[in-house]
Amino acid sequence: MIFTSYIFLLFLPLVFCLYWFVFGRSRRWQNILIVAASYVFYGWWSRRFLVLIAFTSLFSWVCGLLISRLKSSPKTAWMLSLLNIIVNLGILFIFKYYNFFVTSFADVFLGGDTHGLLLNVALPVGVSFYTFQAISYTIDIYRGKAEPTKDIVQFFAYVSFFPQLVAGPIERATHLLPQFGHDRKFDYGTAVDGMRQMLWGFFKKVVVANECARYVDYVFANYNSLPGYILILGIIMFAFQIYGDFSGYSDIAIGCAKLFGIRLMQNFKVPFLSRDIAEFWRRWHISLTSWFKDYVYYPLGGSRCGKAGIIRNTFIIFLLSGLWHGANWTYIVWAVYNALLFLPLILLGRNRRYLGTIAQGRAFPTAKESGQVLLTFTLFTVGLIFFRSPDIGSALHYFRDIFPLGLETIGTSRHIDISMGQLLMLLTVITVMNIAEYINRDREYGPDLGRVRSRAVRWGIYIILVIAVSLCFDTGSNPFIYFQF
Amino acid sequence: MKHFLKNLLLFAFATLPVMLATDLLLSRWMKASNFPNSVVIADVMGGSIDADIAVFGNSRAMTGFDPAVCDSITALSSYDIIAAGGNFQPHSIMENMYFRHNRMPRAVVQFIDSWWFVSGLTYNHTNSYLPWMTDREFFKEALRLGPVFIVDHSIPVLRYHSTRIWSDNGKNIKTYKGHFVYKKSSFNPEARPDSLIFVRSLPLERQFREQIARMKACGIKVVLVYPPLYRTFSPTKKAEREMDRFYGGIAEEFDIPILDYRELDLKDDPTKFIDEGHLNKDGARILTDTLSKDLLRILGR
Repeated sequence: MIFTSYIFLLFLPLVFCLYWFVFGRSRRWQNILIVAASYVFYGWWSRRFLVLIAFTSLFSWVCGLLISRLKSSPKTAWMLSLLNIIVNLGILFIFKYYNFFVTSFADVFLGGDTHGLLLNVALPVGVSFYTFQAISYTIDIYRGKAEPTKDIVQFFAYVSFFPQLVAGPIERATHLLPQFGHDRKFDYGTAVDGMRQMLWGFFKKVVVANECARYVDYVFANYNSLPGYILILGIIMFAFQIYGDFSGYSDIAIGCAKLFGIRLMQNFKVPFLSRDIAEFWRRWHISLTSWFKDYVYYPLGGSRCGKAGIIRNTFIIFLLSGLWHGANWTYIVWAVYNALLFLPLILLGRNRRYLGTIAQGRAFPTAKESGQVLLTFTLFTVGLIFFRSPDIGSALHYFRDIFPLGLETIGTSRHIDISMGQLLMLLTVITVMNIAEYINRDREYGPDLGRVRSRAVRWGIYIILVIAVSLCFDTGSNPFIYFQF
Repeated sequence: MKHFLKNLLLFAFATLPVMLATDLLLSRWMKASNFPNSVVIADVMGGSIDADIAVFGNSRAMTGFDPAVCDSITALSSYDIIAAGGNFQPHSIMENMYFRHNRMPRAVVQFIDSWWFVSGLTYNHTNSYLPWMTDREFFKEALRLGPVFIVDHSIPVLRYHSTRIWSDNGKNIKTYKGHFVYKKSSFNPEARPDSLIFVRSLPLERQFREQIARMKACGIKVVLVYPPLYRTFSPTKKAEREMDRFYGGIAEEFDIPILDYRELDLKDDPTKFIDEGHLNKDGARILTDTLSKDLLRILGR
C-alpha cells in the first residue's frame, strides 16, 4: 500500500478510528493494532516479505534482550551485537547487493558470464530502512544508550510502524521505542498539525514531484536528441522531483504518525537553502546521515584522527551512503563526487560554519548567501546526473550532450513533449513550494498555516491544496522514488 | 477528539461545494476543449455526425483510418469515432450514443484484433469520458462498466486525477472527422515485444454479437477489419487460430465480410508505424486507400 492510493485513504481513517475509539484505553491493544495495521499496510504490497520483517524484528528483539542480560560478559554481548548486525546486513546484502557484486565480479574475472550465479529475487520494499532500525537497536543497547524492551509487541511496532516503514525516517530505538511504552492521549493541536503536514507532504509529492517526473523522465529518455538547455532544465527538475518526492513522503509519514500521538524525527530541513555542501548534508535525509555518523563515522574516529583518517572516514561514509541508495556504480560515483565536495570543507575545518538557518532575523538573505545557496544547489544538482542515470556511460553522455547549450533553438522548435502551459504550471508549483518553505525555514515543515488567524483564509488555502492534490493524484505510475532503496 | 472530528466534518462540508464548482468548471472546459476525445464525444453527443461510413474499434482504428482519404475515394462521408474509445467495453458506450443521437450510417467498419475484448480500466482509456459523466444519459450508459469505474469517475475533482488536462489541452491538435495525426512515440523496430494472446471475455463477446445483430437489423452493412501490425508484434499461432475461429464464426453467423490486412506490404516497413501496434500518417493513408477500394466493392458502388 502506498500513501498515494485510494486504499490508503480508506485505511488511514479506519485505523485512526479503531486506535482512538476502540482501543483508546489500552496502550497494549493500541500497539497490537499498530503492528496489525503495519503488516496489512506492508502485506498489501507483498505478503511473502512479511516473514522477512517478522524475522528481522524477532531476531533483533531476542538479541537485544540477550545483550542486556550479558552485560557482565561484554565480549559475548559484543558478539551478539555483531551477530545482529551480520544477520541484518546479510539480509540486505542478499536482496540488494548480491547480484550487483556477482555481476561486477563476473565482469572483471569471468568475462561477464553470470550464468547460474545470479539470484532471482525481488527487492523487498523498505528493507534498507527497517534493517537499519533493527541494527541501531542492538548497538544502542550494547552501548548502554537504550534499554531493551521485554514487550515484543512494542518492539514489533517500533520496527514496522507503518507511516515510516517503507521509506523512513529511519528512527532510533532511543526516540521511537519509548513512545510505544507510554500512554498516548489524543491532542487536538498535534492531530491538526499532523493533518497539515500530511497535506503539505501530498502537495510536494503529488503536485511537485509527480509533475516534475513527467518532464524528467522524458528528458532522460531522449537526452541524446535534446538541446543542452533542456538537459540542464531536466536535471534541475530532477532535483525538485527527488526533494518533493522524498521530503513529501517524510512529511506524510511524520504527519500520519502525529495522528496516532507518535513523534517521528525530522528528515529534511530546507536543504536547498544550504550555504555549503556540509550544511546541505546536515539538512538532507537527516535520519540516514545521522545514522551513518553515529554508527559508522564516530566509531571510526570521526574527524578526531589525522588528515588521512579524516579522508578515509569521509570516503567510507559517502561510499556507504551511495551503496545504501542502490547496487549500481552510478551511486558510487555520485558518492565519490559528494565526498570530494565535502572533503575540502572538513579538512579546512569549515564544515560547521553554517549551523543556523539562512537569513536569521532577516526577511531576505544577503547577496553572498544567495550566491552560496545557488552554488551549493548547482553542485548538488550536477551530481544528480549520476544518481538519475541508469549507468555511468549514460551519465557521461548526458554531461557531454549539455554542450552546446543550443540556446539559439529556444522558441524555434518544439523539443519536448510538454506544453508551455504545463511548464508554467510546473514552475509555479515549484516556486510556491520554495517560497512557503523559505518563509517557514525555521519550522519543521512547509507553511505555518496555524499562524493564519482567519479561519476562512486558512481553510481557503487548505482547499486549494486539496484540489491541487486531487487533480494531480496519480495512483499508479509514480511510486515514491525512495521505495526502491 | 470531538472538536477534531467536528472540524474535519465542517471542513469536508466547506470543501464539497468548492469541489463541485471546480468540477463543473473543469467539465465544461474539457467538453469545449480541442482535445480529440472531447471533440469526438461532443460531436457524438451533439448529434452532428452525418456519416455514411462509421469507423469503430480501438487505438489501431484511431491511428490507421484516415477519413479524408476514404471520403475522396468513396465519395461518401466517413467518421472515425475511435478517438473517444478504448476496447469494446467502454467503446460500446460511444456506439450506443452514436446510434441514439446521429443519423444511421450505411456501413460500419469494425476494426478487430486480439485486444478488442480486454476489460479492466487500465486498458480502456476512459478518462475522456470524465466530463460527460455528469450527463445523466451518459452516466446510465456507463453504469455497465461497473462500480469501480463509476466511483473512480464520479468523485468531484479527484476523478480528473492524472488526466494531464494541463498539457493535453494546450496542444491545438487538429481533428478531422474524428481523426488526428497521433504524436510520434519512441519505436524500436528491432525490439521483439511479447507475442500476443487473444483475450477472451464471454459476456463481452455476447454483447458484441448483440451489437452486430442490432446494426444488421437496422440495415447497416458491417465490415470486420484486421489492421496490420508491425512484423515483430504478432499474436502467437494459437492466439491467431483462436482469433480467426472466433471472428470467422461471427462473420459466418451474421453473413458479414472480413477484410484481412494483416499481411499488407507495409507490415515490414518501420517508416509506416508510430510503434509496433499503430500506423502513422503514411501507413494510415495506405491502409485507408486499400480499405476504401474494398469498401466500394462491398457496398456495390
